Amino acid sequence: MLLEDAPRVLAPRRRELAFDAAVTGVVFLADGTLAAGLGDGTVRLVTDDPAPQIAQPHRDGSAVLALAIDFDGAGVLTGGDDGRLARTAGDGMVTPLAEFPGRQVEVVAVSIAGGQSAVAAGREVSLLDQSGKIVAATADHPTTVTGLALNPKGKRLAVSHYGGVTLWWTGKLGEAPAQLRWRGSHIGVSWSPDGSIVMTTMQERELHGWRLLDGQHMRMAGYAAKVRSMDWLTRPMTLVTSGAECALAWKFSGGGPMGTAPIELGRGLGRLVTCVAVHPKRPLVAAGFDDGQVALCALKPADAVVRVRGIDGARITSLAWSRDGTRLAAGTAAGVVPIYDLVKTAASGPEAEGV
Amino acid sequence: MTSTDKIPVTVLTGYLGAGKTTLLNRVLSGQHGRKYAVIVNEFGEIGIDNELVVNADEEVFEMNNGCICCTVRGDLIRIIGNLLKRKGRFDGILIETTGLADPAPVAQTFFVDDDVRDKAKLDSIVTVVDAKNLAARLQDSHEAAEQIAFADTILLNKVDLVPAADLHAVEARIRAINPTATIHRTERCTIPVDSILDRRAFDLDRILAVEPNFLGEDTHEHDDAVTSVAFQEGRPIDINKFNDWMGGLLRTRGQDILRSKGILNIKGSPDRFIFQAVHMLAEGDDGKRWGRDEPRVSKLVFIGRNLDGADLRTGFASCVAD
Repeated sequence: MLLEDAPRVLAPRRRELAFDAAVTGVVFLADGTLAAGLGDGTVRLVTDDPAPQIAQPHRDGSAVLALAIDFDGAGVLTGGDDGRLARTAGDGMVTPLAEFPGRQVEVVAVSIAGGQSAVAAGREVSLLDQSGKIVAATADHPTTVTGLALNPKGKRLAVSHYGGVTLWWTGKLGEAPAQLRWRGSHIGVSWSPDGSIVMTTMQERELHGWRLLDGQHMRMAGYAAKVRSMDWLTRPMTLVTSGAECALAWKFSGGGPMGTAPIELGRGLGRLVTCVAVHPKRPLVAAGFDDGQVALCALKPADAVVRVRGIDGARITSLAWSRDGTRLAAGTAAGVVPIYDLVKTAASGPEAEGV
Repeated sequence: MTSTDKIPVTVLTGYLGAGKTTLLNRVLSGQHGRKYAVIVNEFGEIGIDNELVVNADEEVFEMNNGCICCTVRGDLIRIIGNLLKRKGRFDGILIETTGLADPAPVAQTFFVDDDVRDKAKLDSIVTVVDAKNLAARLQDSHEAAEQIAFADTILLNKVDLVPAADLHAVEARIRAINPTATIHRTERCTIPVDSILDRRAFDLDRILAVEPNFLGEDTHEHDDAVTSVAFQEGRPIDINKFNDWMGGLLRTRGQDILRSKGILNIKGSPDRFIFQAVHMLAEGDDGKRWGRDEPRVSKLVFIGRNLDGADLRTGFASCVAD
């Protein structure tokens, strides 16, 4: 980490867009274009042009439920409640990839390292190659698949469901899975950036984790709500989550996180953190709240918290950093997409308001 | 979000062949001018070529919360959450269950999951009953009685195939299990959609019309039959005593008590207190104000198995305010 001590704030917002459907996901493409998935089945592509481009990968009247940047950084994969999986390129061109009639496609994962993506529909998981063709599929899961995560090398796929996680080798999907078991309903899964740990979020408002080397279990309980958002800082390896009145950061270094308390980020600002996003290069966390607030928090206890978006009542549903870390975008349940710049400033106090 | 902003959810249960599909198709045709999303079970008979229809797997999960009968429908939690992301509002959501489903997990989902509770409200449980085959169904399956026990509205279908005298017997059978449900007699499920959807049946005002009955020692059943028992109390109730008694009762007997519902005259309150529970999960809320000349009478109904009427009556009587 460079320049750890130089304060960063998000400058006055660069832009705020408003759409007439809920924002369900935002992500920056490699060239800086922002892709936003909406509750009307469209993807809006925001560049410096005044009017965003509209792509319609999903049926009119349906909703985009999953949005992930594709392996090449030049487009997004979306899943919708019309049962479709599609790719939308940065120029707005839509390529349908698969259709699962009668299903809501809400789980999509992409491995940039592996050049592969995975999609779930019901109990079935399909792997797609770089051309977007389904190359393997298996329905060998005990219940509906709730989450997918590829390991950092893109060689293994973690599939969450009731009762735990099934681990597949992507080269041998459907053969010889490993099982990580823990009773209860697992509703999402994430792989640590060093590949050593698989974490799930649970219906029971807690996290569960497995250290793959020795099968050691981890359990983080006491959340106020289901954890809907997890993200990782690579060094020191730290898991940041939503689900409490502040963002919670669990440090995995020095024997942690078991037996240690999480670092609380942004406490006192709002009722519930719904979304978190770790800066791609610095130990900074963006946190979105259920009342519309967005805060930028330094991952050090007692460091400054900068509130960049005030309360407007609409839940933050998504947050994304640009690849170079210079911009942050949020999406709200009311269809608003604010975009901020991150700049260096020496003058910011802890209560500086960017808006 | 106030409770009136919440999307009303109707659960449709009933045996295969009882007539659910006919009803669902009518709801989907949209001729009633409202927009409903329909969640069908994976073995459903309905064609899925409709953007308002979602397939569900009926995945019943046990919650890890120490409550052994606390099961929920995990698939519904996800599907309802996703439906609410769509632009434009639904007037309601209709959930079809398979003929063999126990309605409890569906109902409990609306008590247990915070996200669902925030946005949606269980409006009513509608059970379609085949007038001709009900007796046989009650004989050969647990679920048939449970579906009647949980119902707020019962469509007694295929009445054209049954002689009038038999119909009375069938209705008596239903009433013995569930004294509070509204019964509609139908042919081919022909009924105006608005008489079953968005009924706010859970406001339970019908309980006041139920005549008290009492299972004496001789009728105290130890077999598997689902029965009901209703009590009336003219003296005001102490809310703390009631909560203590009911909490303990549902904790220990909640597996057998399928549903309990009550309208209570609480000492010191000008409003009705409305109580309802599904197995061990209970909720209470203030209801309508008592009318000036209205007799303030508390009524409490239990539907379940192995109900001990004498014990329940003693318990309820102990809740009378000093």
